[in-house]
Amino acid sequence: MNGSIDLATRNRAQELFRQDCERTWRHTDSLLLALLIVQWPASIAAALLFSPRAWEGEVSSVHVHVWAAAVIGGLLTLFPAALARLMPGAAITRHVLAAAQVLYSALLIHLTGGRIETHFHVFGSLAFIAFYRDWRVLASATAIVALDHAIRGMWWPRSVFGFYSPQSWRWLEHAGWVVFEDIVLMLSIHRGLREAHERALGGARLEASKEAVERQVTERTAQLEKAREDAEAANRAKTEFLANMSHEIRTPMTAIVGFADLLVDPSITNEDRAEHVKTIRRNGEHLVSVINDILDLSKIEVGRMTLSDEPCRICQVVAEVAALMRVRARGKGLSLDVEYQFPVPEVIRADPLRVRQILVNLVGNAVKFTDAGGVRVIVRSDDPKRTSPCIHITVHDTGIGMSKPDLDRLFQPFSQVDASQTRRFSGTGLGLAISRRFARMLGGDISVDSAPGDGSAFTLRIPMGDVSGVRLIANATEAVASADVEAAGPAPKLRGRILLAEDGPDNQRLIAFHLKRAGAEVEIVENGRQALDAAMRAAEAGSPYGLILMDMQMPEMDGYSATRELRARGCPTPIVALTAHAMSGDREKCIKAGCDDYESKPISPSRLLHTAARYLQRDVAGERAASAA
Amino acid sequence: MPSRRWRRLGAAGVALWAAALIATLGILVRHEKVPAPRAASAAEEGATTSPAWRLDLYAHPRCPCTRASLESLATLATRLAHRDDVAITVHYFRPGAHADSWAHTASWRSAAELRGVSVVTDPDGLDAARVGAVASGHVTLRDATGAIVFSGGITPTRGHIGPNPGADAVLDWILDGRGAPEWPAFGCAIRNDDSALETSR
Repeated sequence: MNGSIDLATRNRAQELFRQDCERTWRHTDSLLLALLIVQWPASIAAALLFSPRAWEGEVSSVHVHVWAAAVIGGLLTLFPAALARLMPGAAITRHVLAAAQVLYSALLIHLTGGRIETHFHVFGSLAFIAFYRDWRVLASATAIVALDHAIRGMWWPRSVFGFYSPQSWRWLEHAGWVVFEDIVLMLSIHRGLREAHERALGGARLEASKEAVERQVTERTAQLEKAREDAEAANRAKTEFLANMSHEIRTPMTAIVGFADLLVDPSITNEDRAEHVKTIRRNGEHLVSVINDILDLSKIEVGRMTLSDEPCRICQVVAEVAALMRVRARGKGLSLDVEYQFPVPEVIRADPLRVRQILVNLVGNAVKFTDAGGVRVIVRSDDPKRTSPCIHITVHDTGIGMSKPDLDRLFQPFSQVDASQTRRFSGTGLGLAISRRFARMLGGDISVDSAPGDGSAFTLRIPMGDVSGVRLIANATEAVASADVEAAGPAPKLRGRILLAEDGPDNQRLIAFHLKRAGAEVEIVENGRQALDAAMRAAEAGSPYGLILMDMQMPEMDGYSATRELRARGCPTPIVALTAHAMSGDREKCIKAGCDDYESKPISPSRLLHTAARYLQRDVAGERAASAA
Repeated sequence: MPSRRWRRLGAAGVALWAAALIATLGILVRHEKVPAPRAASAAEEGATTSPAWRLDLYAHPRCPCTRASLESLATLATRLAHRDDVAITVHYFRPGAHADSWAHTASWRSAAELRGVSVVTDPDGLDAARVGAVASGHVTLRDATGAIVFSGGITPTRGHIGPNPGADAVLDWILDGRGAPEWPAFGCAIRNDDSALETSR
């Protein structure tokens, strides 16, 4: 049992036991002192009763016993009282009080002329002294009793032994009876001490348990309080976020709906109509970016976001972002320059899509928050030979900059620098939070250095992965060659038949419009079943489609099932999946079902046409090869 | 836990206290062990008396210390109960101006209850003075010739009984015909007027 008691509990038990002993000692001090005080007048009374006066003939005076009772009683009371007052509970006090008590026995025996009844005072006194639960005190008191008996037995044997001429050793017999009582009392003391030990141990355990419970309650309360505060903060943030989302979604939606209404007005001019369409498109794109941010964040939050680890041409990604943002920068009269600190690896291991997304966000923010000056993108890499080398892409701007408190909140989701800037610059407040999450998922991070009025410098750091054997780009020419950005040129011309499986009439019209305008022949079906039937009929008729654009979410039979069935039936026609699902793994899911490629909604006409052209040309090339053969 | 200074003070106090107690007890013991002064006895009674041995105890009726002498006398009386040649008398002091009732105290009654013991008053303590008894509890033993063979106390100290040479001497004389002639007597003074003693000589 004792083995399970820790040191702290054992020490506390000892402390409690010591306190208990001290209380007992002080309490017994008080009891004995009270007894001594009572015994003083009692001894005087006994002297007055037994020997009130001494006589000389017919003249009397106070008997010496009365004076002895007064003086010795005073000595036996006052000094112990002083000790009990000044040093309560001290060992010396206990011993003196006990000695005084047994000396009172001797005094009373003497004053009563040795009445045998007075000897009971000795036993009562020892029992009283045993209240101390201190065998040493009992022993010292017993020694005094024995000494008193020895001396008294020698001089006044009748007062001790009750008869006239005892043997010289009879005082030992008397002392033996006292020792017998002492043995009984010591057994009682031992038991009392053992119980006090157990009580102290129980008390210490109870305290430890209580402290543990209180500590736990305090911790839990703090945790609950923090959880409550976090929940409230999250709730506030989400409320603010929802308010912002509402604003961010309603604003472009208002523009889209409003300008769409204006389009149907026959009285507007062609210039106004074109302007309205541009407005609708711009707001639609903004709406898409808002929705993409929300989806990305939700995926990250639930841990469903997975990043790919594939070759990433960093110069190409940077060049694409620069090309994309340069239009917007020029629109604000800003410069947007890319600088390389060579050498830079041509290819690193990363998820190019997410790297691109991060850079779009950083450069986009730089352009958004800069009114004059420009934006510089600086790319440098660590020495590939060092451990865990990284690519560092820093986006400098000459914008408004940020204060330290703003920087602290910069990467928190649902937080924006401040409401006024949110209103001024718009945005969901999610972009940087998402970017940092992506950066960290890639094994890197985003850091920022900024001061109000001094612009900002955001640095994306991502590990390069294993780049051993990778060519190092050493100059700008090689960088441009590596970028190989598709020049924005006219839409490609299409030749061939395309089967469009799409259940939404608007999308049917929109997609078919772009495809037909590019020269393709388009047939439309509304679900997977019809797509399967149409594709198989065309194949059986010997005139298969050059491309199937397959919406993956359709009634009756979805695109996944239709694609799997087509592939199961040996249909070789290229299939490009169209899906509004932008979630992670959607591309893989489509490819796994048998699709050749993947386009996410909303459809980018340019991208769609390039993709369609790529597969139709492959088909044409195949036909040519077949014809030649 | 008291400091070292307090412990030292306490120890010094205990030493002083013990010394004071011992001194006070010493005074008390001394008082009880100091015998009464010896006084010259009067002329011996010349005539032979009957019985052969006369044991007289001179006492103050109100002296508390005399209880021990009476107890010792009772022991002697018991030991000598079979002897019909021993007469025991207790002489209680009475001031001359008072009636005998002045001497009829608890001590008197105790003495009167002793078997074979006669109790008489001793007006002004003249009898006591005559034999030189100063302290209450003083005993004289006379032989058949009337000579005092033993004179003194029969207690070891004042107010306490116990083995003592005085009582032993009385027994030795009566049983063996020889013994010690004296032993100090302890007790209150029977008379307060020593001049009476001088007068009685």
